[in-house]
Amino acid sequence: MSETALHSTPRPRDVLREQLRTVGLALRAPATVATVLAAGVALLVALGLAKSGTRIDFHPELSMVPGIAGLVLPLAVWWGEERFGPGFFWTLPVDRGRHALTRVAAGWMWLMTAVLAFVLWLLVLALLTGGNVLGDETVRVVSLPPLAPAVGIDPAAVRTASRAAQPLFWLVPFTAASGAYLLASALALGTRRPLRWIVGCVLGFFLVLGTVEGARAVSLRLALTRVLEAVFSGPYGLDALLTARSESLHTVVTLATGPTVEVWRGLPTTGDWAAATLLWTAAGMIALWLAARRHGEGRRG
Amino acid sequence: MDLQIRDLSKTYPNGVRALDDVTLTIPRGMFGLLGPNGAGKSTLMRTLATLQEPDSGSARLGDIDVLREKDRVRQTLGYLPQEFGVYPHVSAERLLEHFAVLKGITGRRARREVVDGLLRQTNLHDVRRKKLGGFSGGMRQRFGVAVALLGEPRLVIVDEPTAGLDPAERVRFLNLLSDLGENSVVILSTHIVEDVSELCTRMAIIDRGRILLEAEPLASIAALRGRIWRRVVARGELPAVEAAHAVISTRLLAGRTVVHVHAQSHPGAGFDSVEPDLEDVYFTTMAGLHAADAAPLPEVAR
Repeated sequence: MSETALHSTPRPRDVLREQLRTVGLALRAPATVATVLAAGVALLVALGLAKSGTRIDFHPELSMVPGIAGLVLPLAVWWGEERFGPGFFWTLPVDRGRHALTRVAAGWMWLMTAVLAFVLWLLVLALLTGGNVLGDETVRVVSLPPLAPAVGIDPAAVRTASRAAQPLFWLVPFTAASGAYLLASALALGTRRPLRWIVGCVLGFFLVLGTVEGARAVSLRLALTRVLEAVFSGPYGLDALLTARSESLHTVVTLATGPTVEVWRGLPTTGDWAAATLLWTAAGMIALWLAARRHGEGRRG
Repeated sequence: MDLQIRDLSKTYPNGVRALDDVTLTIPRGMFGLLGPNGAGKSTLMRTLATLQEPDSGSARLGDIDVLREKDRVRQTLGYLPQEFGVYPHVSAERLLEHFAVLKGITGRRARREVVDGLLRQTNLHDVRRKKLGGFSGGMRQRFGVAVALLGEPRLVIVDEPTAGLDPAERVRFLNLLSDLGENSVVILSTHIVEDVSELCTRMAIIDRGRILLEAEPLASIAALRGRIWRRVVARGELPAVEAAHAVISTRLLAGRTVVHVHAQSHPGAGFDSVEPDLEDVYFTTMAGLHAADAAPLPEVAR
C-alpha cells in the first residue's frame, strides 16, 4: 500500500486573510453606492449650512444606519455563494463550518471599518458645521407614556435638563452594527431561504394580530402589544441595541400653545444600552454558533 | 496507487437505489464511467469526492480510507463538478488564487507560479482578468480543470464535463483532459460515449446503480467484432425488425433509420456486418447482451 502525497492545509490566518480579500471584493459595489450617498448627504448639509446656518451635533448613537448596514451586509457577504448542499467548497481541505464563520468574521471586520468611516464622517460634519461634540447640551424632557398622543402637551410638563456628553455612546454604532450583523448572519447561515423566513414571520405576526382583533380578545391584544414593546422599544429591546433607545425616547410633540418641539421622554442610559448590547450580542452569537453547526460534516444532503 | 471501491451502496430516502454494491478497481490513468442520466454516476462521484455518505461499502485511495479520512482525501483531491457555484463577478486569476489559498498554497510567490502555470495550461492566460460571469461554458469548464489541478491531486474527479459544450470547445476540453492521467487516478463520469472512447484506457458502464461492465474500451470493442450488424430500414419496418432481432440501437442518417443488431451469426437479408465501436459496446451492455461476448479481461497493471 503506497503512501499518498498530500498537500498542506491552509492555516486559519491564511483563510481569514483570503476571506477578507474576497469579501472586500464582494463589497466593492455596495461600498461605492454608500460613498456616493455619503457625498450626496454631505453636499445637502453644506447647502443647508450655507442657507440657514444649520449645525449638526455629534450624536452617532442617533443614527440607525450602522444597525441597518449590519442587517443587510450578510446578503452581500454571501451573495452568489452556495451555502447549503454538496457544493464545490466542501471538497477543499478547509472545514466548512469554520470556513463559514471565518467569512462571517471577515464581513464583520469590513463592517467595523465602514462604521468607523461613517462615525468619522459624522464627526467631520459636526466639526465643519460648528456642532457640539463634547460640550454639555440642554434638552427638553417630558414624561410621556410610550403610546400617549404627542399633541396638546401642557408646556408646564416640559422641563429642561442639562445633558453631559457621553463618549461611551460613540460606541453605539459599532455595537449596533455588530449585534445586527450577528443576528442577520445567523439567519443567512442557518436557513436556506432567509427572505422567506422574514416574510413568513411578518405575515404570521399580522395573521395573529388580525385574529386577535377579530376575536376582540382585548387581554391577548394587550399582551401582544407589551411583548412587541419589550422586543422593539423596551429597556433591553432592539432599539436599545441599535440606538441606545434614542429612537424611541427622542420624539416630537406639539404643545397645547401651538409650537412643535423636540423632546426626550427620558434620557438614554449607558446601563440599559450595555445590558441590551450584551443580551442581543449573546443571542446573536448563540444563533450563529447553531447556524454554523448546520454546516458541519455529515449535515449534507 | 489505485482507487479500490468495494460493495458501495446508497439508497435515497425516496427509495431510489442509486448505488447497488458497486465494486471497481480504478488504476492510475483516465477511467471512464459511462451511463445514462440517473444511472448513479453523480452519486458515486459525490461519494468519492467526500460530498455524500454511502449506506455501506468502502473506498480506498492508496493508504487513505476515502469514506472515513475525508480531510486526507481533500488534501489530494481535485474535483470538477457539473456546476460549481462560484463568484461570477471575480476574475479567473483572482478566483484561482482564492482556491489556491484554500488548498494550502499560501506562499505568495509559489501561488503566483502555480496559478500562472495552470492558466497557461488551460489556455485561459489571455483572459485571466476577465470575470467568470462572462466566460463561455467551455471556458468555465477549463477554469474548473485549473481549479481541480491545484495542489497536484492524486485523485481527480470530473463529473459530466462536456455536457452543453459546442464541438470545438469539447475537442479543446478533451485535449486538456488527456494530459491529466499521467500521475493521478482520473475518473471521468459522462453519458457521452465519445468522451470515453477518445480519452480513457479503462472504463465501466453503470445503470440503475449497478456496474454492468468493467473493461478496457479496445478489448470490449474487440469482443464484439463479428456480432454487430447494420441495416437501413424504412420507419414503418422498424417494429418488425425489433420483434425479430436484438436491436441494440437505432439512429437517423440523412433522414433514414439505421439499426444496429447484435447477433452471433448473419441475421438475414439486408444486414451488413459492421466494425463495432464503443457505442455498440454501450448499447449491447445496456441491453444485457455484452456479458456473453466479453472476453476475459487482462489483469490491471498495479
